[in-house]
Amino acid sequence: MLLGTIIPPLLFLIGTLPLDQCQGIMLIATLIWFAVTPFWMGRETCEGKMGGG
Amino acid sequence: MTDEQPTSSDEFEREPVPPHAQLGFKSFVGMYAGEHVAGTELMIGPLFIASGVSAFDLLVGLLLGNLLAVLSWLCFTAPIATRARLTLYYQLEKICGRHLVTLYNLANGVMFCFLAGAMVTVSATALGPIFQVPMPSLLDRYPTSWQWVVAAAVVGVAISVVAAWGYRSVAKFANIAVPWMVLVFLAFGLITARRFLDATGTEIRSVHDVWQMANTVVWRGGDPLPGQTKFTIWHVIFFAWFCNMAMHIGMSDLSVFRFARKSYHALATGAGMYVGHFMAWISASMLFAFQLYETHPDPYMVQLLQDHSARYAALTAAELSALPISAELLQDAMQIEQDLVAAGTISASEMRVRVPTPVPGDLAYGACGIAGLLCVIFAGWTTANPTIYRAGLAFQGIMPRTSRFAATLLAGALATIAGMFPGIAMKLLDFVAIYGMVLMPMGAVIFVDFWLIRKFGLQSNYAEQSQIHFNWAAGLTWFLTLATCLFLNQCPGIELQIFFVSLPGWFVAAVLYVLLSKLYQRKVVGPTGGAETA
Repeated sequence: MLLGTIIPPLLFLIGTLPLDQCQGIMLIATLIWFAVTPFWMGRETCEGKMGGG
Repeated sequence: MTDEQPTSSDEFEREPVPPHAQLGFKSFVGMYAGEHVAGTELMIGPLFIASGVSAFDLLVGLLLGNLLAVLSWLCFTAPIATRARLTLYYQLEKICGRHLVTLYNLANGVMFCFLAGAMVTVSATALGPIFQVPMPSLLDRYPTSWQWVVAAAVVGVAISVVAAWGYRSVAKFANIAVPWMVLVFLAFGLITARRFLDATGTEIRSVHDVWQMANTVVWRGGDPLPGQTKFTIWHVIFFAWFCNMAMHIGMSDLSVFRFARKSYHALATGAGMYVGHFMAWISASMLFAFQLYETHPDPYMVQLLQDHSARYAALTAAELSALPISAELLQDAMQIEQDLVAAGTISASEMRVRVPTPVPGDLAYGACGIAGLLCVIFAGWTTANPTIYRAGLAFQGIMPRTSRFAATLLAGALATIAGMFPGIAMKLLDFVAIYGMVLMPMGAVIFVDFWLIRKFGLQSNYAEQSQIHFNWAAGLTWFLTLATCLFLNQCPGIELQIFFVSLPGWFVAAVLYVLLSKLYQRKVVGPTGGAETA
């Protein structure tokens, strides 16, 4: 599913996919990722994420 | 992160982490890679462009600065963390006493709120393309419109309420979002690279062509945009090194690495530095560089330059309006406007030259569409959420009778108000440097207290040994070091920029702590009942 997020930009970079299609595929891949991943990724806390930047 | 991730706030808060709870290298790789892909990266990258950084300075500066940051975790934080295995707060309490730790909590909590405020600002920019909210500009410091205030309030309140109520759910969501966000950041760079190629008509045949394009159209160097500090390679190195100073040299991550089986596990911070503070910053900077490349002088600016500047008189209006906007063009146009105001030709309210502003929502939407917008919202939200939660914990430490829910809402309210002020996000480079500087002296105190102070015949963990609540040697070290840094920054003739003051500041703090401890420490009775020091 994550391939759907990164392959389209790579194809756009080499000039084989138009930007609007690239963005469309990325959106679909994003929706699938967030719909499906919670069922198999059972990771819990993230308290280390305290600042960023 | 895996199930064996450090959960620093709940366990072993007042005892060393036992061997069975210690974690391996991989646990820290995932955590740091996720921690440093935050909403603020979408402001920091563009601000490098606004600061006039060149390609060589940015790439080499980030490589070196991030290396220094990793080495700081490796050589400063982890060796103490894996020996003492205590939280930062407990370690500080033993050295400084409960009351001074309370003051530290207050400073830490307020800084967290401002940082979360910058994340609220970033997330609120994602509402711009959806609801046509007018965005603040690079030079704005205060709220610019009621629509902006409402946008920041909606985002801030939502984040705060979730942080107070559903922190664990968002933490779980953050873990799911992180791998996706990393790839979207990479996509920002890939897509923008193609857009640059198309816009400039460049054909890439060799690495030299890539480097040529990077130098001439992406990271062009030269003057910064009006209102920004010029960044050289030294600025980039020090910024990359010190932007997480509170965590490494400031020792906040003692609470994390006390779980590490070996101190070399701190090398895992490299995942965060080179994913978040290298790849993500470079990608985010390319987004704004492309926005600048695609922005051209408007008819008003063209007229202004043609009518009032000999430098542009030779160019036709069409040629002028085809130029990419640059710091030099903006400075010239703004100078002409100021001269016209001074001459009384126009009034100040008629000044119309505007500095292009990095608006993360617009930038991300332009490159990756709705997936990009979602990335802006999630990157800001998933990192503001634990930041507000942590600020709430810090405030709760000061007001123990307050519930965690109320303390988190208080922190969220402060962050929301801070988020309405775009000045924090627009001056994020400076704020991050100040954030590290404020907490750095206590890191120096911990370092000296752990490794050096007994070599001077003095007592480590003095507050615990002498049963005091406020170690004035540590407290004065903190205050005097900050005063020294302020002096170095403000004193005419020195005016050391805020990005650099923390380096001499650390040595000042280390020396001050030894000298003041010499004056302050008296004979104390240790746990064994014997005299510990004179």
